[in-house]
Amino acid sequence: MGPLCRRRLILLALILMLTAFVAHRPTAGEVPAKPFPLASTLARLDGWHLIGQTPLEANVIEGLQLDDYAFLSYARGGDLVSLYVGYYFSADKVGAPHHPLVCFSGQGWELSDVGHAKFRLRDGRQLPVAVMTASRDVDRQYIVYWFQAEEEAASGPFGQKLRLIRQRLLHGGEQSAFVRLSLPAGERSEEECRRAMEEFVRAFYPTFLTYIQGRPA
Amino acid sequence: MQAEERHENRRIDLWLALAVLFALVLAFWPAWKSLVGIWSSSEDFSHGFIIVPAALYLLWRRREAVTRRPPRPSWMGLPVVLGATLVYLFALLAGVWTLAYLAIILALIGAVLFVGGWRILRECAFPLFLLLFMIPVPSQIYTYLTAPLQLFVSQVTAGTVKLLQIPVYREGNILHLPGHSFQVIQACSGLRSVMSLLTLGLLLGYLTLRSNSLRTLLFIAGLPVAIAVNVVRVLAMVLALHYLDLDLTAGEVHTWFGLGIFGLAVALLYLLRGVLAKWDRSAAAG
Repeated sequence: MGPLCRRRLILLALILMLTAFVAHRPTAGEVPAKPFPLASTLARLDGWHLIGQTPLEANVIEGLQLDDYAFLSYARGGDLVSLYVGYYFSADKVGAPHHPLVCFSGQGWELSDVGHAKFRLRDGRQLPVAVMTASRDVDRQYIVYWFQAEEEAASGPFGQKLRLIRQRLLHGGEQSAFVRLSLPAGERSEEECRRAMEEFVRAFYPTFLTYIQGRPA
Repeated sequence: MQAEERHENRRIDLWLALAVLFALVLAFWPAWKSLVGIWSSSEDFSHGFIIVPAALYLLWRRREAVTRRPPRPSWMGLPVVLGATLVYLFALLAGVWTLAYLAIILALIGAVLFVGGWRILRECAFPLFLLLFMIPVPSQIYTYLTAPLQLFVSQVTAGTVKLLQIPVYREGNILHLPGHSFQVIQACSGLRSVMSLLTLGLLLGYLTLRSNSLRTLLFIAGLPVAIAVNVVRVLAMVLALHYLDLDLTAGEVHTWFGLGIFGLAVALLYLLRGVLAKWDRSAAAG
């Protein structure tokens, strides 16, 4: 190796040491745990009655890398909505939730009417969501889900990742969540199911935001 | 006198190379740490542990070709290294780990080009390419791509079980047998062993075949082999449960069973390589 190569090796080592110095600077790190569990925050939703809570087994919590979760059922009139929220405090876990398109098929559900929609919230904002109908034997469920990145929602995991990158770069935001709602569809039309779901989301989302912000509901 | 000077120069070169290696590991330490965490916790990417030693071994095999002629450093390497470090720092800040892993390989390419030049980069091309296989495919993408294959495996297995007159009812990846239901794999998971077998096919082809098209064929063969051994795996689980009341899905027996199935996959790939090697020889002789 000649003197030219040696000089370049020295320059390379200096560049890499500088990179190491910047890379090892302390970062914001994880968001501390919330003062209230998610399930108790969501126990009261305007106009909806909590009728059940399903605890997840330890191996499921571990498999999904959950930091907090809520698996609750609500009723209003003839409507019955099941809510699942998997919540993550650090951005490292943004890819942890399983995608419903994979999981429902893996559990033997036939999927139809798969698409996207926008639900109008009480404050006039639009919430982007993914919708589908899942059928298995005589069971037919209308499913709505989205991926949350701090206070922003996306109907798919890629959009969530992009939003979380932006949140992290601009505000140091780390939190993410996966939200899934299901409604027994029976013989009801897709439009009827959608209306019932939109009503539920209007009651749910503001309370959910208080949890993200770390405020009491 | 000249011999002493040569010896001294070699010593300096060695120390400089070690310093660069140390700086490379230190600079990318958070990414290495994250990679090792994924390799040790995910069955889909545990083959990552063998990639770096395999790449180093391949480099060692090519040491004569690399050192045959003196290096002709290229300035083109400098912007590549600088670009890689910037991409890496952005990836750390934004929490995009896949980008951070790719930046390691990009920095290595730049470093080889900067110090050794284009000829040496060409000589190191395959070991550097192999490093791509240490990078875990993001889990949601991996599952999305391989879940249909897992469903296919479950369908074929359930069909075969029915042919054996064993009553079975399938719901996706869940098989219901009389008195027992079990998930042949986590219902939401993709096909196991795909990445490991693709990597193995790639290495085996590179080391033992000469024709690039046959090497590619062996690499692609990793996919059907993964499907075939997964069918055997699930079928063996069902048969063991039905006839022997033995649950192969949990405990120590599960680990040994998994190793046995992977051994079968390796044997299948090796068998296929043997067939391809015959074509390879005839093509070379022709």
